[in-house]
Amino acid sequence: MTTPDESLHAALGSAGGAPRDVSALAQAARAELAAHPRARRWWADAVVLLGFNALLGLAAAVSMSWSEQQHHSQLSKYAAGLAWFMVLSVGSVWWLKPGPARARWSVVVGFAAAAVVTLLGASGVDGGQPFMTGMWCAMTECFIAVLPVTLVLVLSLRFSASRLHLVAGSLAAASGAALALHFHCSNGTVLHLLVWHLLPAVVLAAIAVGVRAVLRPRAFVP
Amino acid sequence: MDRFLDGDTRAFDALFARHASGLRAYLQRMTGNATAADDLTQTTFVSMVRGRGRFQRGARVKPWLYAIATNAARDWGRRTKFEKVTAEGELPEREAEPGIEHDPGLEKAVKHALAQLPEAMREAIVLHRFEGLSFAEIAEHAGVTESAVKVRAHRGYERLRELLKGLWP
Repeated sequence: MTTPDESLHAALGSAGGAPRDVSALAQAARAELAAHPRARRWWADAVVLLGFNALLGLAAAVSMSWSEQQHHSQLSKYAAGLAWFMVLSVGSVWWLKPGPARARWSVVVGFAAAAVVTLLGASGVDGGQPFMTGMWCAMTECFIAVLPVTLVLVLSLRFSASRLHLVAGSLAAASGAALALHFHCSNGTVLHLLVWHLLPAVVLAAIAVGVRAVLRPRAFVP
Repeated sequence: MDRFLDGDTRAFDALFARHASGLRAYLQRMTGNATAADDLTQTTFVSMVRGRGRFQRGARVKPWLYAIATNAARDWGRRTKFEKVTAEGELPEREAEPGIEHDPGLEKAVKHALAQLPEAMREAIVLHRFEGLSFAEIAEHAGVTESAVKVRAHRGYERLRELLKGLWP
C-alpha cells in the first residue's frame, strides 16, 4: 500500500514518461554550435547599446538649443543632467546583466530618482506656453528614443526577457531623449515635465513590454 | 562548461549526455506531452548554445539548464495552452515507473491535483522535489527570491493537501 507522499513521487515520476534514446535531439544544437563556435558574451550587446544610446543622447543634447528657463539654478540643471546620463549609461548595461533582478530594479529606481531630481530642480516658469504645446516635447522625446528602444527590443529577443528587463531597458534607452529635452525645453512647470517629458518614457516602456510579449525569442536562456 | 563556452563540441556532447534525459523527463512532466517534450528538449539545447554568452562562469550548469527548459515550456504553454486535464478531468495516463508499487486510484488523484496547481507552484514542487534543485538554485535562475520560491512550494503543497483531503495527512 503506497502513502499519498509516495504516490505524489510516483505520479511525478511516471509523468516524466519512460526513458528513451534522446541522442537525436542534439542535432540542431550541434549544427548551431558548428555555425557559431564563439559565444557572444552578454556585455558585448550591452556595450553596443551603451555606445548607441550615449552617442544619440549626447548628440541630441548638443545639437538642440539650450534653455535656462526650465531650471531654478545651474546646480539643479547639471545635477539632473548628470542623473539622466547615469541612468542612460549604467542602465544600458545593467538591464542586460544576467542574474538577480536587483540590477534591473536599480535601473527603474535610478530613472525615478532622475525624475525626482528633475522635478525638484524645475523653475516653475512656463514662459506663457499653453499646456498642450508640450506635445512637441513628447513627440521629440519619442522621436529620439524610438531607435534605442527598438534596439532594446531586438536585444531582448536573444534571451528570455521578463517584463522588468523590458521596462528597465526601455527607460534607460529613453533617458538619452530625456537628457536632451532637459537642456532644450524652456518650460519648467512640474505638470509639463511630468506629462510631456517623463510620461512618454513610461509609455514607450509599456509599449515595448506589449510588443515583446507577442514576439518569440531566439533563445530561452535567463 | 568553460570549454563549451569556448566552442568545444566534445564539451557540448558531455553536457548533453549528462542532462538530456533528465531534462526531457522534466519537460514531459511540465507539459504532459511526449512530442512537445522532445521538441522542447531540442529547443533547450539550441537555446543553451545560442545564449551561452549569458552563462556566468563559475555558476552551476544544471539550474541554468532547467531555467532554460522552464522558460521554453512556459512559452510552449502560452502558445498551445498547457494540457491540464482531459475531457474527463484527469491527466492522461502514462507509462508506470518500474519498481514502485502503485495505488492507481491514489496516483490518479495526485496527478489530477498536480494538474490543477498554478504553473509557478507546480514548477517549484517538481524542480525541488523531483529534479533535486535547491530553492536557492531555482530562485537564482527564475529571477525571484529564495523565499518566494519557498512560498510557492509551500502553497503548492498546501493546495495539494486541500485537493487530496482525506487521502494525504
